[in-house]
Amino acid sequence: MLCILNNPLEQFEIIKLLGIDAPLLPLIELPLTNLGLYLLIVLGVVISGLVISFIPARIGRDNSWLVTLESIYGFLVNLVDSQVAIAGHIYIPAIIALFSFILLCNLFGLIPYSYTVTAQFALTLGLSFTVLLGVTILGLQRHGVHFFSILVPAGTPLVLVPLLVVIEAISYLARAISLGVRLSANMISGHVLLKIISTFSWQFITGSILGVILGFLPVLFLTALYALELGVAILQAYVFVLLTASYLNDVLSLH
Amino acid sequence: MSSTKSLIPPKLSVSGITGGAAAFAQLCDLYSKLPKGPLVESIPPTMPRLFGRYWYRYIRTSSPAPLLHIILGVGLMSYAIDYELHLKHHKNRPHH
Repeated sequence: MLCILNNPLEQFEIIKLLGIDAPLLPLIELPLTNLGLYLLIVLGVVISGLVISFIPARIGRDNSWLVTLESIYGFLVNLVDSQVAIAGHIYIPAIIALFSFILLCNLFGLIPYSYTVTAQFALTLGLSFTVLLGVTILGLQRHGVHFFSILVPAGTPLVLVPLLVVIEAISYLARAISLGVRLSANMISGHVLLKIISTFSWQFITGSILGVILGFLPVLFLTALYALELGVAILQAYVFVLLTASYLNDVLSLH
Repeated sequence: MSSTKSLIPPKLSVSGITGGAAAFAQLCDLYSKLPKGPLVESIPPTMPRLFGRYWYRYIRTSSPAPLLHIILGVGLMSYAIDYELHLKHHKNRPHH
């Protein structure tokens, strides 16, 4: 029996779909990759979803879309309230934008044959470094030089201060890496697992008469795994914004 | 009396009304031009026909169907891209 096994990491390949050569700018071309295409789709869905959600309300009809959006808004306001102690409400738009972008990227990745943009370390590390850079600038702007007191925990003996500053600085910078890697690693592991299980399920079902009879078992398992991945997609978007709000609180209240 | 006058609804304001029979006629004219009967929502004439029908059926009613349409559309597009880039090369032979 011929066993066809595709590389489970093949789904994360970045492939150039369209490319514009720019001969006036040497060594520069402007390609549209599958990553870029799915990012554009997510952007389009976020913007059109927001615009369209307000239409039924404007013509005086019941609007379940707006209720859903308001529920998500309320959920994120509660999150920011619980995490950011000082004047956190002005950061809610940033948190909502981040949450909706990551959530939709994760969910679009679960559509069969589609591409998971949040499985790319380049994208998630870019997001996490941007978040850390942003909160650091905010902290410096708010507290000036006093911001660096974040590197010295309260009650530290003077002898240990140099050592702790180094440790805390590494720990502070490592947040940027951990935030991005957590999201990508979760997405990659889930999709690889789905790909492997689905490939083996297909081989099992089509391989023998026993597979045809008992084929519902791997399909059931695959369905359960898919539901789990759906949960992971939502949870990871939540974890990303929760930690962003927590970092925001750290730099605002300096602890 | 003037204080109670401001409380009595409706407070109609039609520009150019000076009072008397002319004002009443103008008011009748204004109301006679308003649409009558139950609210009929139609496709806005400025919309393209296809989008107008979609808007009338799904968006106006805040139906969950557009979500399904997006999933199906993205799924079909993704399959087409995947077929062209990967699947047709792997047809009946293992990955190299």
